[in-house]
Amino acid sequence: MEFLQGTLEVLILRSLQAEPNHAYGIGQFLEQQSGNEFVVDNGSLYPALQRLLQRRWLTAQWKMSPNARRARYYRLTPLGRKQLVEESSKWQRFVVAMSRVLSPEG
Amino acid sequence: MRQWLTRFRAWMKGRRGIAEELAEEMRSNLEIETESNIERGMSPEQARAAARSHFGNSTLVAEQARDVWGFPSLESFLNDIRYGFRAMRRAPAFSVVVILTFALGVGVNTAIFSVVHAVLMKPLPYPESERLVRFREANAKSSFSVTWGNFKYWRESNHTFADMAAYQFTERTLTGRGDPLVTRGMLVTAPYFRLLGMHSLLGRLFDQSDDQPGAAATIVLDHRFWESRLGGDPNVVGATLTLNGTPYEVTGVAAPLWEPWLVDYYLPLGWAAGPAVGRQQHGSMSALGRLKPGVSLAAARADLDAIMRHLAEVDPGPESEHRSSGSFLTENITGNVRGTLLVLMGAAVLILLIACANVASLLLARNTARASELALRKAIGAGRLRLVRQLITENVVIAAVGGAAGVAFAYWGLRLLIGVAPSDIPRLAGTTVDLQVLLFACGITLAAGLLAGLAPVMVAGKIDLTTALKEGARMAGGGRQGQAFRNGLVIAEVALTFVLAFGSGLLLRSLIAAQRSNPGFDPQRVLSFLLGLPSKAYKTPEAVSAFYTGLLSDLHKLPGVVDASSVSCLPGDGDCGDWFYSISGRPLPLQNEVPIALFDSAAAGYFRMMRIPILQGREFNQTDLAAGPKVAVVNEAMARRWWPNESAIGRQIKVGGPYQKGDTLEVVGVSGDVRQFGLDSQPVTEIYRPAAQQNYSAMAIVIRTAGNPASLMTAIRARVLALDRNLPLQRFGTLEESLGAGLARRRFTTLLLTLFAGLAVVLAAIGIYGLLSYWVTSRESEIALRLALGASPSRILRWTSFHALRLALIGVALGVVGGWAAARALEDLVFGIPPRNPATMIAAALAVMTIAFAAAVVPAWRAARVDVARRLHYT
Repeated sequence: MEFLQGTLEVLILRSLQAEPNHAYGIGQFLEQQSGNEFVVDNGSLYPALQRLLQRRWLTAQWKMSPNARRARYYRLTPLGRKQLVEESSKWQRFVVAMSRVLSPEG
Repeated sequence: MRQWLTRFRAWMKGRRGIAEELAEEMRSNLEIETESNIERGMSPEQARAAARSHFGNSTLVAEQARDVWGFPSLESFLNDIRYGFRAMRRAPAFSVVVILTFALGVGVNTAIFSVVHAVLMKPLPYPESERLVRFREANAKSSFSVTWGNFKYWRESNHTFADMAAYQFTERTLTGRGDPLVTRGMLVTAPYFRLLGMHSLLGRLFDQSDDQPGAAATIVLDHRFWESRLGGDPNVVGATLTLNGTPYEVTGVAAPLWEPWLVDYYLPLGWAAGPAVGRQQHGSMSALGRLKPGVSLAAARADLDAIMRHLAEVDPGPESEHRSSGSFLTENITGNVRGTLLVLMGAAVLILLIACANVASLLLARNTARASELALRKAIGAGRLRLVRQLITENVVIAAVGGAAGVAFAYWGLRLLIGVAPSDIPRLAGTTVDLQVLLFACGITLAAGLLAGLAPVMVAGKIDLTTALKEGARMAGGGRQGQAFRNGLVIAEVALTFVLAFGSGLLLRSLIAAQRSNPGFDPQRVLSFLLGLPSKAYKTPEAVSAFYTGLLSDLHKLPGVVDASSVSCLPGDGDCGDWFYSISGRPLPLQNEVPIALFDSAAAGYFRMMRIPILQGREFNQTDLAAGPKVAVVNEAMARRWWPNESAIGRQIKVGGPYQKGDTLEVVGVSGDVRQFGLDSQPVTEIYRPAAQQNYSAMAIVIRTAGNPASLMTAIRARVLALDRNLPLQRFGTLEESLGAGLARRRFTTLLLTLFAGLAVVLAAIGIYGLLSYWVTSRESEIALRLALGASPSRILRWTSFHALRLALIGVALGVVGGWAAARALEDLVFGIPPRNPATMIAAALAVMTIAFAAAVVPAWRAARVDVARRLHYT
């Protein structure tokens, strides 16, 4: 399933809520958490990460991974955390509204 | 905003850092993925391959991620420009041809435009020059000078002018400063300087107090005259100059300014005109005025007309029917070159169109050859829009290089053009490639690049991936549509070339006709010069007569002189004085319909000397004395107008018409027509009077020599100076030269247009050759098949040639339509042949067809020699 416009960024923020992660890890997290519904295309993921860096919602840092490999880890900034809260509530309202419209009986 | 700033800073810091970090990041993630694949039990190779395939197109990912940091559209534009240059280097021959074609088109247009801009478009360098107008008197038929009397009424009673001055040219002999010198000055009223915004370099310009009867004689020098003749003497103010024997005190030197009329000095007109002068006394004065803001030319004319009507009531006379006629100063100055320059500009635009068609065809052929490259780019992810943008940028890049070369070419060409141009084109000498011209060059370059690139790009956008990749270049773009388009280009080129060839043919034939036209006299070995006797030294008509009679008899005695005579106005000098007349015994003309003819004075034997045929009666001889009966010789045009089928001899002409004072002349002879306004003019009605009865202090001396005229010049000059050493000989030279010089502008226009036609022919030939070659290449299999099925090579040759011929014919047919329209634009420049001259049209058609055919020969020959076996084998 393709990402809706603008959803990838909030999902990235969400994936970094618990702990910093690298690009591959973020991709894996999103695929697993969505029950493999989302396919993360690197052509979207990398540019999105760059955009988030630009907005200063993330910072990046080279660190050693658990298997002792150098990797670039992304971490939420306070600004990014605030953004995640706002965006999450917005998307939640959106999802509720969507399902109301799509299945009015339910 | 802050985001933009970050981006910009990152962009400035250099993309390299970001790119390297990204590459490293991607590499490390790929490793991590590979490792996790191994952990899931894959072999290392499998793991790596799976990770790579899962990762996707890493180049594209890197590019897209990087683009977040930069300004992708700008960068891809810069990239396209780089591709453009790379593409140019890859196909040098193609690029050189395209660049040269653009350079030619842009260069020719830029050069001509810079002239049009400098001469026609730039406002005159005067304050509010767009409101400067020139006014004269006029009746229903023609316009003439304004009299001092009427001018004074105009100046005082008008409601539409902010300012008004009068001016009049004068020629005076300067003495007391080296050799006597004929100088050209201008009599102006004081506001003249203000109207043109003139300032003084030294001293002051004269003002109202100097410009009235009785004031001291003052003069303002033009800076050029001051520099060249007076050596830029810094103490000139207060010095005295003697003109025609009268001393003038120099009040100042005018600062340099581009003046519409080149003169050596200015004299006060109000001072020279004296007190009250009658309303009917015409000199050669004109009025220069600045309209009040918002006043139209028509309103100003109505205003002056009302004044003239009022004057007609209170002071009736021969002037009663006179009104005013005015034009803007700009038009007045540039009016007669406007047509010529616009024709040249039009021709230049045609060249540019041909160049565009040529480049379009070249690009078409090349893009087709590049079809596989384009298909490949499409296959690795370039969008159609991206591809189209790249092609357009490439075209614009190559056009820009061509345009730059074109500007250089124009810069150089312009110097050449100014060099060969006749000197009478105002403001031409100051023409430069300035900012506006450069903007124009940029504009047409861009337009030409887009125009030429549009069609090929449209075709390229439609490239069918699979066909192009599989079959290579040959098939792509060779479709029916592309073919029709290419045929259209050939047709357009042929048509445009035909129009240029036809136009230049018309001008060439006009030039030949003008050069061969019978001037009405025999100019061979005739020397001429002008003399002006100063009134101070030659006070009476008798003194003037005595001088000229003496000079002519001296010249007759000179060895090597066949004959000598004098006339008041040389053939080719145009109108040195026209005046009203009427024919006795004919119904009186209305006041504003009194006919006008050129009036000329000629010495006895003038017609014999010039070998102007006498058709009826006799010419002037020694019996036509001042005291004798007043006689005239009229030209054939005059005789044909009034006495078409009868003898003109003995008829009577009233000088000045029924409403002005003047002698009554008896016609004693009819002479052949002389082309008074130059070789490429039509004769006009002309009345000659014997010099003894109507004498002028300024005359042209004409001398026919036995041998080389130049060898007699020193002796002739000595004879004149022996009689009066204060007399300068002006315009001393042969009549043949001065007649030829009168054709300078025609020669210039013809030269340029012929040059343009030549360029067009070369361009069109290249274009036709290129397109036909391409046509043959794309049809090789078809040709091979035909040959294999039994068609003879000569049949193929005919088939190919017929194709070329058909296109050329359609082109010529369209060109004839265009030529018809072009002939109208050229009407004023055509002489001696009808503008829609069918012979010229046929000649142009034949020339263009021949070129088309010649350009088609090689491709056609190649078509006939297609190697059947090889071709069919490979298809």
